[in-house]
Formats: sequence, structure tokens, C-alpha cells
Amino acid sequence: MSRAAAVIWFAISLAGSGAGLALGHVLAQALK
Amino acid sequence: MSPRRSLGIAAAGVAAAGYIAFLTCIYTGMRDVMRTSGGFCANGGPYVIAHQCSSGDVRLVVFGILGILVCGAVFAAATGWLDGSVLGSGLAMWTALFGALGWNFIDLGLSPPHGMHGSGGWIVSGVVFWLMALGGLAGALALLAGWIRRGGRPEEPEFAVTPLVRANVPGSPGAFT
Repeated sequence: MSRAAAVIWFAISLAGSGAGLALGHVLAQALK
Repeated sequence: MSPRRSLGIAAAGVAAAGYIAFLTCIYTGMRDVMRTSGGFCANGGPYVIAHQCSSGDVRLVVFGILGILVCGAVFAAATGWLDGSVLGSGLAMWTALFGALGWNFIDLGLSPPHGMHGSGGWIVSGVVFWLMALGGLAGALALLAGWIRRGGRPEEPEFAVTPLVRANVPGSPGAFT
């Protein structure tokens, strides 16, 4: 993986993780 | 950026979101069981059960486990598809899993729920979980450091592949006469 692709991969994964944290709280409330 | 690369990065982002979302479900379910039932519960069977699992906790833990397995596999596959380190992404997920669940043990072990005595076992479990998370983090950081040292180039193969059978070209160095 090139440097540019790795940086984009990392940034998108990090942003996805942040969104996942918010989504997880909503999902947990819905499943509870 | 090529369509293949765009698709891989999008898949990695969605899978990372799913992984953390389902990890949050496991975290919430585990914490709820620890708070309300002293850390263990059961359902069904012929015996009288002291701590019945609530259906919400069962859903949180079951969907959470299935979810992180699926999303984790997609994240690792997308990373591999982009020629990234599958091992590195796996170690990062390992660190997140054991770090988060270890925090539940440590946090509730240090300030146990009302009426609960003897939470030393939770602290021990939390320390073990955090040691496991630390192992994963150390491995992921070592891979990252190696990648930075190589300047983003792929790793050199550990074994040089030399042909066992070669043509005998007369006049060339090492040719049989």
C-alpha cells in the first residue's frame, strides 16, 4: 500500500470508528 | 484513485464503523450483566437459575459477537485487498476488543455495583485483558514502525527464491562443459 493510500485508509477507518461509536450507542439502546 | 482502491477504502470505513458499533453492543451488554447480576447469568434448562439473563443483554452480546466477527473479517479483507497489512488490522481490532472489555472489568472492579462484595477477580481479569490488549498494540506498533522505516515499500521476502533447475548455456559463467 502506498503512503497516500495508507493515510486515506487510516483516516477513513478512524472516521468510521467514530461514527461506529455513535451508531453503537443507538444500536445498543435499540437492542436493550 | 482507481475504482478498486475507492471500493476497498469505503469497505474498510464501513466495516470499521460496524466493528466499533457491535463492540459497543458487547461492551454495553457485558456492563449491564456485571451491574445487575454480579457478572453472570443464565437462561433455560431444568434447574432454578438465580440470575436470569434479560433478553436485552442476550441480544446485545449475541448480535455483538456475530457482528464483530463479520465486520472484522470484512475490515481485514478490505485492508488486504488494498495491499495493506491484514495482520496489523487484526492486531488493531484485537487491541480495541480487549482494551474495551478490560476497561469494564477494571472500572467496575474498582467501584463495584451497590451490594456487591469481592470484586478482586474482576480487577485480575481486567489486568489480564489489558495485558492481552497491550500485546496486540505492541505488535501493531512494531508493524507500523517497520512500514515507516521502509518508507511505505512492501517487506523484502525472507527467503531468496533461486531456481533449482537451470539451463546449461555454453559460455555463460558456471556452465558445464
